[in-house]
Amino acid sequence: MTVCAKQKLAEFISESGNMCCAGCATPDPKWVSVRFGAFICIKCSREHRSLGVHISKVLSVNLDELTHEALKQCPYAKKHSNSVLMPSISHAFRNSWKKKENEHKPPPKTSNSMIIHDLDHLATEVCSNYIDSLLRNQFWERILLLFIPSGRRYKTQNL
Amino acid sequence: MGLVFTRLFSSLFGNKEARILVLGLDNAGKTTILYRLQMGEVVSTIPTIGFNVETVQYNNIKFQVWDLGGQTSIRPYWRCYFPNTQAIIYVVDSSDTERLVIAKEEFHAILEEEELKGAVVLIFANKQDLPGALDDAAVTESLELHKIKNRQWSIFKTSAIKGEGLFEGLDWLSNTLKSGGG
Repeated sequence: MTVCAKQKLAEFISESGNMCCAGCATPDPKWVSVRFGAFICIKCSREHRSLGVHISKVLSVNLDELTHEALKQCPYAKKHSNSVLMPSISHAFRNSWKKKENEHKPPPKTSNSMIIHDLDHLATEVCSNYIDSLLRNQFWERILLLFIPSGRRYKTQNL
Repeated sequence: MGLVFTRLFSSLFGNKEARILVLGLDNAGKTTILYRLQMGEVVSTIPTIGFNVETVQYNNIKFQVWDLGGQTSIRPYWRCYFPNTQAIIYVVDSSDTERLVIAKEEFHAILEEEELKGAVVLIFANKQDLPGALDDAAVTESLELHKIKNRQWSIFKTSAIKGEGLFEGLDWLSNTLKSGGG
């Protein structure tokens, strides 16, 4: 690993949002999904790896050579990737679920504005376009679930 | 007399043993292949730090299959397992086209090893179930398999998840080993 890449990685790891797993919040994650720029634990890497490298590419912080190019692929790592991705993705997931529920009834006028109000404005700005593009395909819901802690999944789906 | 009888019995009914190494880059599917061969099931795996070893009985050969971790910094430790190896199963993630060059370099570095001089090589172009996976011909070209000299080798398209191609590969391997290769 080049000195530059090492510095960049150290910078990412020291971000407070990256100090716990993006999937289950276990502290000190040692794996990174470079497609999402999310730091994850070895157990959560199982689900990421099973999706194939075209969706999620998992590398080890210690055992792999994270090149500068690989780190460049981490789109949100610099902005507390985990803390940005998690609320935004669960927000997007909630919205997609709501859309499905509301297909049979007229949507209440205030629902979206209320949810957005709850969110970090920066997170919404950075991720909304990205998440929208992901959500065009239902397959991505499976990936979004990766970033929602299992304890919260039931709650999220029932919002 | 007893020894002669034992030898005759094992040569007739097959009691051949073979030590096999499963190698390849990280996330190529080595562990999934090992357990698919051994249990016939798809297991979801975490990255292998170290190794897994299982015995697989197939075509009257007892394969002792060693699956070694593929992360960059643990690849140098593969050489510790090289002595007395009859065959290498080299697993490639056919959908990870970005890293085929690294897969090729690692592969040819293995073939250079003195301790593996007599080992036969079986290549699995794995993850054929994924979109954009290269077929066996494309993987053959990417890995520059035509450069292999003085060694028996073969490549198979596989999908460890679907269980396709694995036993065809093992058939080739057992036939090659029985006929004296490795």
